[in-house]
Amino acid sequence: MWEQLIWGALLPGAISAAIWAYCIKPWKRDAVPRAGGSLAIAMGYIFGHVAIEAPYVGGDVVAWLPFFAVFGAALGIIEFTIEFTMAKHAAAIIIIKLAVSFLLAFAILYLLPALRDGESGVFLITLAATAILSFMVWFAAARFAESVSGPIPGFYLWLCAAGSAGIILQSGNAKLAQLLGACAAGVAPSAICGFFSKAPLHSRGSTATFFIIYNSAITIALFFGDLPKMSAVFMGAAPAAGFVIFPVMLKYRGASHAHPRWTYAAGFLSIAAMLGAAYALLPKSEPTGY
Amino acid sequence: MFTRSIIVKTILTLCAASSAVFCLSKSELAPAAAAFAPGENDYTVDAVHSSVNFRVKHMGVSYSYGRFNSISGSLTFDEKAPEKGSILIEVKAESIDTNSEGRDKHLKSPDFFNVKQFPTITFKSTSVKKAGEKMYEVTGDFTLHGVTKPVTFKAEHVGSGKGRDGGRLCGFDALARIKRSDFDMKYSLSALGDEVDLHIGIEAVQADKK
Repeated sequence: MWEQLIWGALLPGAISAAIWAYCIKPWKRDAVPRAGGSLAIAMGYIFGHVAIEAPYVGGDVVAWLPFFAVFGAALGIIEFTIEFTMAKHAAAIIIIKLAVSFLLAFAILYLLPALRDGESGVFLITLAATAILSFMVWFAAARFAESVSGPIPGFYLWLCAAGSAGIILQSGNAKLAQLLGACAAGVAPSAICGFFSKAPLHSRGSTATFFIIYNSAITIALFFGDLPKMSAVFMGAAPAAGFVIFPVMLKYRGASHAHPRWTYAAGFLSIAAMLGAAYALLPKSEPTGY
Repeated sequence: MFTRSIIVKTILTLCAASSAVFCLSKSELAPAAAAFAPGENDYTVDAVHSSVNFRVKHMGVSYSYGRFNSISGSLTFDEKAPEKGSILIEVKAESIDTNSEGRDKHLKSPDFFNVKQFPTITFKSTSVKKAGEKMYEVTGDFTLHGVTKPVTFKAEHVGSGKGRDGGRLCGFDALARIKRSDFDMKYSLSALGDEVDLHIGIEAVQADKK
């Protein structure tokens, strides 16, 4: 138990914290985040994954996750360094995220013989639906996470990953839950570092790794681990709902700059509601248990 | 303009590569129309009278037993020339049965068998050696969890005879021990033992009589 906690939570947390701290340099005044967020989450996750799963490269779908994390880190850095005018930047980010969502969904679904060897139409529809939903979660949540400063974005992302890990554990996918826990541990330091950064900590590209791992874990649990469809939808909607609540409520209230505390609470409640619904939709365990 | 061109080209390349891989796999999967004319020594596995069982240590104090309910395959066996024999066994991983619905569900998940990705477990013999009176060592490629490794079964030829419809029958009882970690099935090695004992009982019917 302690060993699991050390390798699955403390190790990824420590590695991620070190990279986050180096990137934002909280010991300096007016700390500004650099393009290290995606790298911090990726490195934390990769070390956690290898420690949990032992250093082997298998053909199992779960063994793909650290490679996705590397991909996410590279993407985050590319996204950070893209220099466009605002309009072109937004279009480029949409295209890149959409293409990556399709590619990842394809990489996961292609490992399912029943789907791969079945009707092409079914495969393509499933691929499109999975990729588009994944893109929507990623795009909506990342957009708001990147625009909010302080510890809240990091806390929300941690809450989504940790809560989803618990739900996936209850759905009978312990290994996947543990790995999503490593992802949660990797993002947790950003909540602490958020206290030291005046600019949004999850700046451009920083959330790429997180959402690639998060969306992939849910997709794997859904298609390989019998996670109920609606639970997967609610888990996917949780981070988006948590962040979208900010501008929606601020627009309603007419505020434009400060984020009143009640909006933070509303965001927290919307995430909790989504995860609660996902949990409630899990099939009930046998009376005798296992 | 140049950057936009690169992005568009990248996306088109990704889409083209994905489509190519998808189409290629489809064409590879087209079944070959192999003509099979069963010989006198060719048998088909009788799923009703055959079974694949296993046992694994639980918490180091006891053995938990399980079985697979879906088995198929074929074998060639000539008692006068056993070294010319061969066997192919295919088991549906989805059919695992340990007398606990919750445990079976967990065993089917990516924590263990990952049955959605790896739906079949197969054994294809590569050599048969006589190892005593009615005893044989059957070595072959054992594929579990997407990993193929050589495994040797100690098989006993239980008997041969005629079935009710007049066709020839033959039966074997085979034992082997594998390490699940060799097949990248490493979850919870502290609670569930690494070594798994396999016990296969086969009854086969002459192929043209099946």
